Amino acid sequence: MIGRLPFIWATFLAVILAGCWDERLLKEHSLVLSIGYDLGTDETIIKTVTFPQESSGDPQQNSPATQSNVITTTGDTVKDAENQLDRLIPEKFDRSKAKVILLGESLAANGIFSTLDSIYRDLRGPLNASVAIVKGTAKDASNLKVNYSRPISDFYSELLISAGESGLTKNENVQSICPIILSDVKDIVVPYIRVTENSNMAIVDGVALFSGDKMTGKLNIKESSMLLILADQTAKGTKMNLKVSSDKEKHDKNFVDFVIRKTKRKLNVYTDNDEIKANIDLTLQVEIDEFSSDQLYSEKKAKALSKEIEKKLNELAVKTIASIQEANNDSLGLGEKVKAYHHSIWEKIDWGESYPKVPIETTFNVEILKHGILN
Amino acid sequence: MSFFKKNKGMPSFVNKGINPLFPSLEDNIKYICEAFNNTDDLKMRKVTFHEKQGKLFYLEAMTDPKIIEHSFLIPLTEADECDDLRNVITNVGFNTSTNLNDAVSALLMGSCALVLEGEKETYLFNTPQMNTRAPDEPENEKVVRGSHLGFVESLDINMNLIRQRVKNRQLMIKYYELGMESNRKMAIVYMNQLANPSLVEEIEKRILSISMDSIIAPGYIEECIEEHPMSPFPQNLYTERPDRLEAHLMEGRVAIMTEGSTDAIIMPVTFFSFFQSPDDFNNRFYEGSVFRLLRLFSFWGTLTFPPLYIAVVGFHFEIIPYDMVVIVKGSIENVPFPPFVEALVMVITIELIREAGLRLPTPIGQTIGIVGGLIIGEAVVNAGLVSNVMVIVIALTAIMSFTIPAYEMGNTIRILLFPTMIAAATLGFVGIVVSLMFIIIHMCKLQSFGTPYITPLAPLNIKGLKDALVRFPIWSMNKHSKDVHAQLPLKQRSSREWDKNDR
Amino acid sequence: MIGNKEITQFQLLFVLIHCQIGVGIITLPNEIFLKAKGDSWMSVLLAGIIIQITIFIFGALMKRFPSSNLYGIIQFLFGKGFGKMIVILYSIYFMILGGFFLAKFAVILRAWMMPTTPKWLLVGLIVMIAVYIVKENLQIMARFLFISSITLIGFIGFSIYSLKEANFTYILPIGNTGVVPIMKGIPTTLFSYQGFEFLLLIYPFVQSDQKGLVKVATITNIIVTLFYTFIVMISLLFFSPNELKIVPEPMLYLVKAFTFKIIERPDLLFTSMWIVLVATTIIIVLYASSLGLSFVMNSNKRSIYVFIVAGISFFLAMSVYGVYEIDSVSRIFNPFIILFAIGFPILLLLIAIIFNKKEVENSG
Repeated sequence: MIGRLPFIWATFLAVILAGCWDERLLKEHSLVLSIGYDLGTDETIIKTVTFPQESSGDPQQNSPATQSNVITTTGDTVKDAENQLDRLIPEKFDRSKAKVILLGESLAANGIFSTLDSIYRDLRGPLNASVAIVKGTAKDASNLKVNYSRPISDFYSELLISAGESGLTKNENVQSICPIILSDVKDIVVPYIRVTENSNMAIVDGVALFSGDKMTGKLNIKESSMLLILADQTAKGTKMNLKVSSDKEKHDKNFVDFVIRKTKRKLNVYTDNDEIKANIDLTLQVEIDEFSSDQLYSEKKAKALSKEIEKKLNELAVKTIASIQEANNDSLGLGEKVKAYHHSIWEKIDWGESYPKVPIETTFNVEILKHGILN
Repeated sequence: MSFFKKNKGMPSFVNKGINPLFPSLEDNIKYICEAFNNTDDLKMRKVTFHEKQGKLFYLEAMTDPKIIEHSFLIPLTEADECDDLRNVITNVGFNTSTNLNDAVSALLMGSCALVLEGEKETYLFNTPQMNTRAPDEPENEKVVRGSHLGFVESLDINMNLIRQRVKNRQLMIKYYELGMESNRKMAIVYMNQLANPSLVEEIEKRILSISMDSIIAPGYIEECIEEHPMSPFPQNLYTERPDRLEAHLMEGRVAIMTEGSTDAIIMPVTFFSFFQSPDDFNNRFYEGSVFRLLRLFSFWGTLTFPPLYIAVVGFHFEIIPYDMVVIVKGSIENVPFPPFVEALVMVITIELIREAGLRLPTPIGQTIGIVGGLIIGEAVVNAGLVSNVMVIVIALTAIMSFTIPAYEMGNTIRILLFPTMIAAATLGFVGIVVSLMFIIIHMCKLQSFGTPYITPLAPLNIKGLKDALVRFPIWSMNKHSKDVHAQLPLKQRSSREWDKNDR
Repeated sequence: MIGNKEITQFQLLFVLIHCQIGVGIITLPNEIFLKAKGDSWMSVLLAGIIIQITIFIFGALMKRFPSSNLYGIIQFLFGKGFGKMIVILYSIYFMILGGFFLAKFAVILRAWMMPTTPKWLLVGLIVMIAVYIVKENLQIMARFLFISSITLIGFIGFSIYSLKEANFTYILPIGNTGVVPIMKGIPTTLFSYQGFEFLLLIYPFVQSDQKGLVKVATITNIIVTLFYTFIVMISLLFFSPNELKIVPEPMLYLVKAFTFKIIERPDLLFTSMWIVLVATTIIIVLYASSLGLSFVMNSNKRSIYVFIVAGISFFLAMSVYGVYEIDSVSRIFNPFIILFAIGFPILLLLIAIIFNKKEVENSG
């Protein structure tokens, strides 16, 4: 017992003296909070990172940083551009806490998987960072001066989260898009951000449509809401605004605003003479938010309104489906269904080619659940 | 000095052999005086009884003159001519001996020895001077409800306190004298009907094998009889509370008490015994359970919080959310030391404050606490030597370690904190996991008198967990805890029988 | 009272669970997917059935030799000289197994948590832990294995969370890969199941009759099979087939993708818990090996052999470098696992039946 003690302590000491190999002291690292990738000339990668400006001085008060520093480098690959960063940042570069990854539109059109590869490979890669496509360049988006009390990275991450929560887009992170990019039966959609001309606003402007890992199109904000409804990924309380009539004098009386409380989707993929057809059956329970043209005191009126809403929704759905089929974006997951339930056909066809031609029919069934505290 | 040579370095002031009385009084007086090296507090009083000359010996420092007067001197003056001396001495602890050495030891215990000319026996009677404080609430085991009585430094009074609580003929008290020179009296206390005989036998065997010149405190005995003396974990439970001792005795455990100490050592105990407090049983059982879980949590919290912080700040800061990283980063940005040194400085400071406050009288101790806790804490952060998050972590850890009712366990955990912190500073989470595994394996290896240390968790005994992790209602714990192997398994039958048919 | 070296049936259950669940748990879904594709979970279930059959064979063997263990049976059937040689082979087998697990552990840990920490330290720490407990008797090991089962709950908890993102179409249509890939997946799975032969080594130390032993082993097998099926299933549902192909440690990758309010990178905790499972596996393997050596030497002091065995395993682990080398070693080693874990006990039973050998009942 006593003889062993020195041995144990010697081991301990040896370990301490040998040093801390993997130590990464927090204070020695600059936390990069947003990363932007753009396609440069000659297919080089332009990388833009932002990290919060250190609040200086008083250790008693560590108020969160409000300003961010923006640094841009260029390299052959993502990692190459990143290695350049060490020459520019005084502390060590650490991207493990990145919150947003912004991808320039031109880069997205060329394929994003190779750009994200280093993140997937890295043991400290920020898999939880939100991904967004930027109209124009990510560099401009990172350099945006917004009226916001916190760094630009927080601005984008909050923007994407709130857009996701209100059912405008689906907030995707680096990991959640990975299995879908790699699968041949489904495609991703990623929030699409536009920076305004005078460069002090960024707006979520719908979603970018991907086919494989290449961006092939985009949807506007109404269509992207519709896409989410069709894909059964509505957030709690997706808000919609539809024009239900055009004969009213006052402009706002032509519209109805409602919140979708509950959706029930039935996606039915069936074959008819070896041809694939799809049918989406949707039941929506909605709550009317604003409807100034009429009162809903009788059930009949409500029925009429819901019929009108159904019609308009269907129009929007047809438009949306046409857009995604044009972009060859199978974000509804039809391919999954075909592969799983009609495997014999699946093996015969090339899904990428047949998908745009698949007829997709939608049927809406709207129930007005509530109309607020007013009839 | 001649005694020293006889025993090869082991001093032996007391001759334990048999020495019959000398025929002449003078020789007897001379023998006793020499046995005490003519010490000044050995007093003699001339006594005459039935015309016989005699001497009454007593150690002035050890005896109570009033008892001597009442039990011997006054009866002596009132005695008739035909009375036997044995009837004259009205002392309870009256005894005779033909061995002069018995007289010498008895004198050391505070007895009087009467030697009469021509008699073959000495008359010994007990006249000790009791100089103890009254039973009081123990300072370090305070409770809110329940008994506020604590043991004192006298074994007799302590036994009295136990007997008063356990009025049962099965309560066994066995006295031993330990320490070859200091003759420390000690007692083994147990319930004859409950305690496992093999356990009692084992404890007696181990106690009898102790060979020391003097036993000063129960800690001496503890270190000699426990199975793993090199372990940082306490394996015997100390208590100064008779009610706590009673509860353990009634479970079939055995206690050791020594003269001159207020502590009872209870054995065998398990890890979970150290987290029980008598307060648990005086509270409603929800509170008792929640607070006991809180204490168990604080044990592991003390052990893991500072290492976790070190590991997170030094290795894996990606694990905490961004908003928290910002706070931590802001606070450590200007600290010159690595987190481990920071933590070490603060932990050592806390230990210093504790140690300093412990030894000083209460008012000064409190001042030390304030100076240390508030002023140093504040100043060290202001100076930028230690980050304020680290101060929070360490202060929280210290508080958690003090919630453990057993003082020894709290110390253990703070000692174990150091290697764990080193491991965390070297290897991050891997280091923490490895050191926790070492500690748990060590706990698996420990045994207290044959009882695995972490029973009833491993080996698992679901019924035992009722009183280990949480505290079930008292009426639901029908059996003695299994780990002591009590002779009678049943503690109670249904104590809420009245509730059954009532509808 | 429990004898000094005996464990209860309940403890046996946890010992056996830890025998089987070990290093392989986080790589299994990937390894098996490469063979059996979307029907991997069927391979896992089938492997569980094979193990169950083997357990019944073990049961028959244990019935014939109620008081000696595998090593004793070997010596009894093959005679002293030849028997001892086989026991040494078993010891070496366990040593290599230990070395292999350690090497794999080091590679994965360095890939996921500690990229620059030297290998000798990581391997050495686990070996130290193992030596520290393997020196002691089985009872103490059983206690530790029971406590470390808490980590399994964490494993299941994290895994269940991932069902949130499950996509059931990934495994559909069931059985479209055909029978051959499923069969091919079985040997890979058996490698992860490896460890149940430990039952044959410790059954004399369990307070139970042969029926009870088989019962406990069956329960263990059901638990482990379900556990593995569950884990493979979750990986199949979470990763798309093309992604699962390129993710070598699916369980860790899966957990890495989650975020909780306070813990943003649960995979770090997950890996930490996995270290405990690795340690338990190494503990068992080293115990088995040292038991063999001390049996061959007719020695009662097992602790010396623990040091020897641990040292050899350590050096074996240090001699394997890199991911690809480990793959090739596992490919070479796979048939041996089936031979030692399943083949040999069957052979023993056959010999015992053919020559009608039974343990002589000795009273006392």
